[in-house]
Amino acid sequence: MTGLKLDDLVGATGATPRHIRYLIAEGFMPPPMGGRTYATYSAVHVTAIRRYERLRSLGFPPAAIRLLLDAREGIPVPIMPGLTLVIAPELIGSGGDVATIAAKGAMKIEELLSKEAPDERKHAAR
Amino acid sequence: MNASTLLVDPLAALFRTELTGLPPLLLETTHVEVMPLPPLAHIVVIRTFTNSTDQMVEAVLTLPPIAPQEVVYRLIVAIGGVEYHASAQPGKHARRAHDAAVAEGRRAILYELLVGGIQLISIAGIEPGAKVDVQIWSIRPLDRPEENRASLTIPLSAKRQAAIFSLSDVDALVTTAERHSASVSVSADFPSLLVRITGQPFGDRHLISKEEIGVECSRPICLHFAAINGGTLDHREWHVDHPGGWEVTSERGIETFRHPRNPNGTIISDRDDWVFGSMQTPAGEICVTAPLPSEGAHPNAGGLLEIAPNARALRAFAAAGFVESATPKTAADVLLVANVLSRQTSLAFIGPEGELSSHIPTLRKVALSEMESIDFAPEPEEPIEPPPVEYEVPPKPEPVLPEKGGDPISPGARPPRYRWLTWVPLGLALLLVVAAFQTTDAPVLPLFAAFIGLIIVSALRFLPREGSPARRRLPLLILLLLPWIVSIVAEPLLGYLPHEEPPGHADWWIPFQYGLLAVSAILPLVLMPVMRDARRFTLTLGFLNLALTFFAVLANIIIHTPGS
Repeated sequence: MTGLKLDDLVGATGATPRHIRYLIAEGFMPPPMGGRTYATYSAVHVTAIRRYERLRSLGFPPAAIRLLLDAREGIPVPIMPGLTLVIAPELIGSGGDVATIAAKGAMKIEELLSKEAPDERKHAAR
Repeated sequence: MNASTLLVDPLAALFRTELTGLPPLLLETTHVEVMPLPPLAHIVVIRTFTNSTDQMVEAVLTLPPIAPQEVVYRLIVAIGGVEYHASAQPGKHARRAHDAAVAEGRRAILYELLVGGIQLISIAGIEPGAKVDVQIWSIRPLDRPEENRASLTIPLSAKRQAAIFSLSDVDALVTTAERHSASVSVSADFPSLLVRITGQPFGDRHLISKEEIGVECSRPICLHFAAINGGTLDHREWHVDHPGGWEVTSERGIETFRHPRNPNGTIISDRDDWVFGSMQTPAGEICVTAPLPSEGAHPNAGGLLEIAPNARALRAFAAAGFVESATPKTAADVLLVANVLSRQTSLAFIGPEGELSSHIPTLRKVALSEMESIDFAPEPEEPIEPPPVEYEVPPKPEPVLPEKGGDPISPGARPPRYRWLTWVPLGLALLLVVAAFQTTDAPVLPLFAAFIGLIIVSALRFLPREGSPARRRLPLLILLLLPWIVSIVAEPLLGYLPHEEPPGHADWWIPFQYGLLAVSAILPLVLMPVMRDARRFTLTLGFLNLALTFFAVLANIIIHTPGS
């Protein structure tokens, strides 16, 4: 996804042009390529806007988002009391094989929370 | 380094405070000019800030929600001493044009209303170090706690974290603990108006005209007005005897508007240069007849260059509260012509291409001061008149009234003379009539006569004023009487009055009576289009005639079908 015009970016993300200018000014996404006359955007900008919106919807204020992105630290996402998913900022809004990742996550949670011992332990006990 | 290796303490970042975003631009001064035009106030707020960065910026100033019934009708932005006037445009069009201009690196100004009445001003193309003055002109109705007292509150700041969750971060209010210089001045007709300011650190204080006094920017400006020396907080003025004239009134009971070329009150529907409007406010109804585009234009046929301030204020006011227009335009068009800010219209300016030497690389928010929570002292029961101030007062010109037959013509309809007669006592009277029919042995005809008298008295409060064209159409209302008269005059009711035996059965009789009832219900609606300016009078008569027809028809049917 390259060579996007501003209107294309607005259509892909739902963000207003003023909000996009704000995100660029605040350093949440890089400026467009090609200068002011031939400004073009790419998947990097789409991902950056989606990531920002996801984090805002989780309740992070702009200053905290900046901290998380600048520090390149994991972002905690509460799942339930006692269970928090920590995710790298680069992965948020990046797409990919979400179904496979979700299945792995579900398997891991089931393994950790289940009352029964994992198969490996059962085998070891024998 | 892959993502998994970055997962160190995930909560640590949330507790760090040393990193913040770009600091907002700060206001340097705020000056407020108030011109009370009772029952309105004309307000000009001038905010000043400087682009303290080393880049060309787009400054975004978010202001608290617009006051109820406030009408903003002018935005002037001065950048480096050069003034730019914004004009009203359809909201979506204005925003698209603004975004395109900013992307092209052109100077652009946009003033729009967001959800909840939040005001947002975007000024793109501010050179490094340039000083910016933002002037907002608006009209607001005064709060009227009492007949001869009024008040006005103008906030200069916003509450901290006054977040509107539906707004994006770029549109949200930004506040700062920094304070800046603020002042207020009031221009008023002080011999008849007493003005007092409260809520400031220096305590309560009376003002004199055009005195500029410093105020605390974190506290709202609270002004109180009291009429003295025979003054009034209502306004009534008319200059409709020549082209370019105007008429305003805040008095109640006004039902029609006059036209300068037809002072008798007939509104011509093909005018496109006048606005006729009215608006309900806490201080009562305000009506206006005012020219639209004359200000700043060439002199009109009457040699008038500009309308009076009060008319100009009310013009914008009426445009926002637009009810009825004598023009074929829609209300949205009137908002555009009157340069009024609304949810549908924004004030915008787009500069010419090539005006700026570079593109606009960054955006900065402009911060308002945080509002300080204060406790207001209770208001005194009676206004205290200050010692007299020596100043010259120019003589107030008397309005020239158009005359007809030697008598001056007053604007609008006369106020209602029978305020005591409302629908509640009318309903009770109706119940009494019903009870009289049921419980007394009095003859039927005197009761009907009493009821007819009640109709006439109750309808009088809606009688059109003298000279109104609707008066000439009043004889048409005789039609309303026909259904119940026909119902009574016809047999069998009259024949039964002397206690005779009920007449014989006729198949067409009952449908005929029901038909009269239907005609009585439909007639007022049929007459509505031709009874313009007397519709409430027609409706009152129609309703009461319907009740009368109902009784007559009911009596006839009961007599006609004994035992039913």
